[in-house]
Amino acid sequence: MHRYQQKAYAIAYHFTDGSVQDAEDLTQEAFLRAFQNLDKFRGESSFYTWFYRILVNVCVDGRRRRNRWHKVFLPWHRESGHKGLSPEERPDPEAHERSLKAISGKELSRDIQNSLRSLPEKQRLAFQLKALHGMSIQEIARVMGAAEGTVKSHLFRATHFLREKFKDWEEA
Amino acid sequence: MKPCPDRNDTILLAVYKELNPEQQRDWEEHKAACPGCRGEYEALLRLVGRIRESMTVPELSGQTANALLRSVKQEMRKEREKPSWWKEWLGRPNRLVPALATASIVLITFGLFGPNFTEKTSSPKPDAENEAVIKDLDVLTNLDFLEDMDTLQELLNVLDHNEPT
Repeated sequence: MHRYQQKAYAIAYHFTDGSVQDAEDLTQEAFLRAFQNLDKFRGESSFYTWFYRILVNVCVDGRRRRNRWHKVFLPWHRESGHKGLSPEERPDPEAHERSLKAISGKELSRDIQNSLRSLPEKQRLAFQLKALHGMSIQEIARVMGAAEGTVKSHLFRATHFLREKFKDWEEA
Repeated sequence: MKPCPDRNDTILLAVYKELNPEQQRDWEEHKAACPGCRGEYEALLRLVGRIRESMTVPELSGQTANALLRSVKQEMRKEREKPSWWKEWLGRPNRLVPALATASIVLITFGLFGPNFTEKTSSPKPDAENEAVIKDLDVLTNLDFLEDMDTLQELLNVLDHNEPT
């Protein structure tokens, strides 16, 4: 369990947009679910892939629960023009006016995190598992339960989106 | 300079180290010759590196890791010790004894006052063959009556024939 703990925690941490408490809860839930379903592991994939699939499902469920909670308990959330986006995800009009060239490293990090959040769920998942956790496309396909071609498509779209978004930063 | 449009996927696969050896060789040759593709490849590498840097995860402390492990073990122990619902239900004498007593009373009452199945089941149902035999017997018993009917019919015919026109 120690072997997978840090990596599982890292994946959950990225899923929860940096919430330490939520990441710990999701990691614990994923381990519990894995132990409860250990008899269903048939060795078709590696244990690592099987476990990360459980983890990703737990994280996706967790995010949906959080989004539902936001929708129910934050009515003003729906009143805004940007449906389905949390307050942090809404584009900041001032940010568009500012040149990316001028923003500091910290601001850029925040911008990157916001851009990742604004990606569709599957694109974001494929990008995070590849770029941040170094999984192969084959492994990601197994974890996501999708075809390799589909994963490539999600990954490429996410990368193109981020490339366009940070073109100014690159040119600076 | 812009990258070659037909090399977009190759550049991305190269950035993510997903090219097979043959594709990698081909890409290396192209990269050396094409400044546009090389520039795009390097820009993407920097971007992904920057994103990786900005998304660093705090190390899970030994204390937290152990606490996590303990809580998982505790939950597992709870799950294991929790008996299945039917075992739990049967395991309680205050539920099992009245249930068994009620079932016994119902069975005894049914046995004493219920319908007698043995009688019903011993009388066989008449089948098609038996029905035919019963019909034949009916004809035989009424044969005398049918013969009398024929005699009366003949008498009527004679009377009709002898009647003056």
